[in-house]
Amino acid sequence: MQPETPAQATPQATPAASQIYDLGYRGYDGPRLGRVYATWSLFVASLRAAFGLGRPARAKIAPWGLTAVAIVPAAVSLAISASVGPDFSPFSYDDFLWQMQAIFSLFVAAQAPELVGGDQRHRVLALYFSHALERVDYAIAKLAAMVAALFIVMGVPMLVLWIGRILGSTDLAAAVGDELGALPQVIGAPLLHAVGVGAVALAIAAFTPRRAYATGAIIAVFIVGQGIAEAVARGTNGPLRDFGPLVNPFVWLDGARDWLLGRTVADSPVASSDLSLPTYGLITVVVVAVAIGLTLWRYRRIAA
Amino acid sequence: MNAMLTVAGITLRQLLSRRRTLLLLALGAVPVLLALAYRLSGDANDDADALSWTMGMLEYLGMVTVMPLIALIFGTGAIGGELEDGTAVHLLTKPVPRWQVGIAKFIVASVCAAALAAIPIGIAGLLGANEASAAIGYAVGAAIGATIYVAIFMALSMITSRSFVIGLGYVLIWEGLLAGLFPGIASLSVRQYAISFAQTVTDSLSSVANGLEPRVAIGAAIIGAGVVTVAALGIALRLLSRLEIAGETG
Amino acid sequence: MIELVGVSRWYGNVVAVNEVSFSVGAGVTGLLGPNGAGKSTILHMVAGLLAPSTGTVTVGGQASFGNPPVYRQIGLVPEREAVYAFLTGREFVRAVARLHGLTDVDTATTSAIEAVDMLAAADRAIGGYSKGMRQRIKIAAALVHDPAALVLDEPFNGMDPRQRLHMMTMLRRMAAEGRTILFSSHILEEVERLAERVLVIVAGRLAASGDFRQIRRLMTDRPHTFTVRSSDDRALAAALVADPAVSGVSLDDGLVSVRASDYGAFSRLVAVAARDAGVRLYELLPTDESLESVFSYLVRR
Repeated sequence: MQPETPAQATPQATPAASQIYDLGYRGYDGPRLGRVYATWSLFVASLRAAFGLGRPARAKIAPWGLTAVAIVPAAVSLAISASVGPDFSPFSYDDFLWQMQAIFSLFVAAQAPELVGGDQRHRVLALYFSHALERVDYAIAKLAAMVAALFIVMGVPMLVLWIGRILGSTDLAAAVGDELGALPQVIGAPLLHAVGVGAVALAIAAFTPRRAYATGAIIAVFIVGQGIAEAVARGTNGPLRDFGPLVNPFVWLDGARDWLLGRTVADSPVASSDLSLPTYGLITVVVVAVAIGLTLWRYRRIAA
Repeated sequence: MNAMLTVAGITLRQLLSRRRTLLLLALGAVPVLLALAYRLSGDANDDADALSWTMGMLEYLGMVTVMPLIALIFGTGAIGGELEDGTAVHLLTKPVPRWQVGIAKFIVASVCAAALAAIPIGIAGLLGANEASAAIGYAVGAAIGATIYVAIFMALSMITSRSFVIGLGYVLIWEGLLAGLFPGIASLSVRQYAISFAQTVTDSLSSVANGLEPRVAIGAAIIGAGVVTVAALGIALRLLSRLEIAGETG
Repeated sequence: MIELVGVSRWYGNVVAVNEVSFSVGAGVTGLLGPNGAGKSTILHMVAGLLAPSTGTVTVGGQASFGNPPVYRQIGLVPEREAVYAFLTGREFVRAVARLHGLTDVDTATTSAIEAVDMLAAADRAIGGYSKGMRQRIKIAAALVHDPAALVLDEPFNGMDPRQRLHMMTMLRRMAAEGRTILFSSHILEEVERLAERVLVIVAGRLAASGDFRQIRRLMTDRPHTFTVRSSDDRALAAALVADPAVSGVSLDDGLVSVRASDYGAFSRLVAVAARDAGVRLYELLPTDESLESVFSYLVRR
């Protein structure tokens, strides 16, 4: 498009003639960054929103507070390791995520609606979809952001535990060698749990723009699920004991973790149930796939 | 008196909307269904086992999960909703002392919460165990616990608009996680007071003697329950009487 | 009936209302001012929902805040739309009547609903009302106890002209009955048409009070400021300052700033003066026509 001569400074409107004035707007013909970059940008922005960054201070209280609460017990464990020895710490790598599940459930119940509820509430989805970003990309970016946020909230305390064990032992070099072997557990377990919890919670939250309903539904699944799991953990046999606790995502995630990384947790229903470990792995894969599928389906169908 | 009844009537209709009632019935159905499943599965070997499982279930599902959630919904809804959307103005610009307004709301909310928590728990207890001791004991504990929670959450909703999440955080973090890590916290936990009541009543009624030792002795629980309820209610009423509602635009 | 003496209200560092004193009696008084001026704050203090930081707010001689019996004399129609959506109009007004402790609840309810012309819709749930209907049922609730003072916060927001006319007629009738009516608005025409007396609030201060027409005249009889761009600023300035309509000129960077005390005379003057001086005018702008500048001038007087 060739540059045109700039129009007159003040358009003279004559009564007879109509005119369109050239105000100097130009189209853009240069290079564009494309779909991948757009998706990545949405992912980064959503991850920041999950922690309240770029929002007023009020939005930071819940995520940062809960992250701190998640780290405190790990720090306490570190302190105990350092003073008394690693074997006396109240947490091990295996049961930390299981013991602290309420915190992670609260985090996801508070923040999943933040990620996906706002856009639906304020009806800005049309703005997203009118650009390079496809509906699928939007859903994937949001899922990835939720998983990443959870990975941070779950992984940092595990890292603190890991450091604690190293620092707490008397022979530092040998300890590093030992603990290096535990790295798959320290990184893999949070990753697995982040994917499972994040996918399920985000799928729930994606179906309603109202924050109260989304939070409530997530709480119903996770918290009430935890109650059910605890209730049937003792004194039951058979199908009730094996299948009852599966309402709580942390149960089948724990089973999958056990299957992939070994080391059973004594408290968890997984230990007392008859289901084989690969079954939990299968359940995990199926549920996560269904959750992701539901999310994609939701954003394909949603009116924008 | 007439005024308090009017306030109570409005609050009752507001709290028991169709959607909310369905949700609460669904919550209450969970322990009932679980107890039913237990009974049908034939896992109960004898009376002692059945009682022990029932008490465990009622504690973890009832006192720890369902009852606090029900109390949270009623406690934050009693006045929190009206403060949020502005209808509180209509109650507060009347020649009715504000403490009367507050008390009327508290009574309605706590009775509803206590009933909707205690009844399903009682039914679940009857289904799960072979005697009524657990049903009665945990129903009593649930009712008392719900009442205390409602007072606390009402006071909380006068302080912040995010009272639901914060109240949930209190239940899960303070009474759950931290009480687990630092046992001393148990004596400051509404949950433990309620459980103490439940276990004491169950123990006294039960023929299958369990000799339970609640984490908080019943005497301390009675005192704790009374003090917390009165203090929370006092805070709520005081905040209500000093409440200021500013206009929207200049 | 309603009296404010030296009332100020601040929130931390922000002063919402600044040393306002006035008294309002029977008839219709309008509180006029731009958004954010403090009108709602004043009305909420009158209605007993806010306490003044300093000063006293009294209604019928009694303090308004923290004094539940005073509500017998005030009816407030708040700006926010919120009403109990699940009640019918009649149930809502009845509940309000009972909260006021009225002895004959039914008669009072019916006459209040009649007064706002809502009898037909009174038995439908408020959730299904239009905005204007909700406003009217709020007024019915504010009237049911026959208060001596009626306080309305932006009552004409979102009303169509017919509804507005109906409401104004109703308010005038109530004022004629001897009630004190105090309402707020940021639209001059509304206040002009309805209020017998006007209180002008700008940035928390009482800028003017009295009859609206007189205030209007005061507003136009003030010195105006203009900026002029011309082909020869100095010559133009010299020509203008010679005329008695102009009270001052100053030369700034490429601009002439003129202060004129007589708006009409100056507008006739400027073209003639420029032509006679052989100066070409490029731009002539009045610089202080905003409501805020008008009011801030009034405030500084």
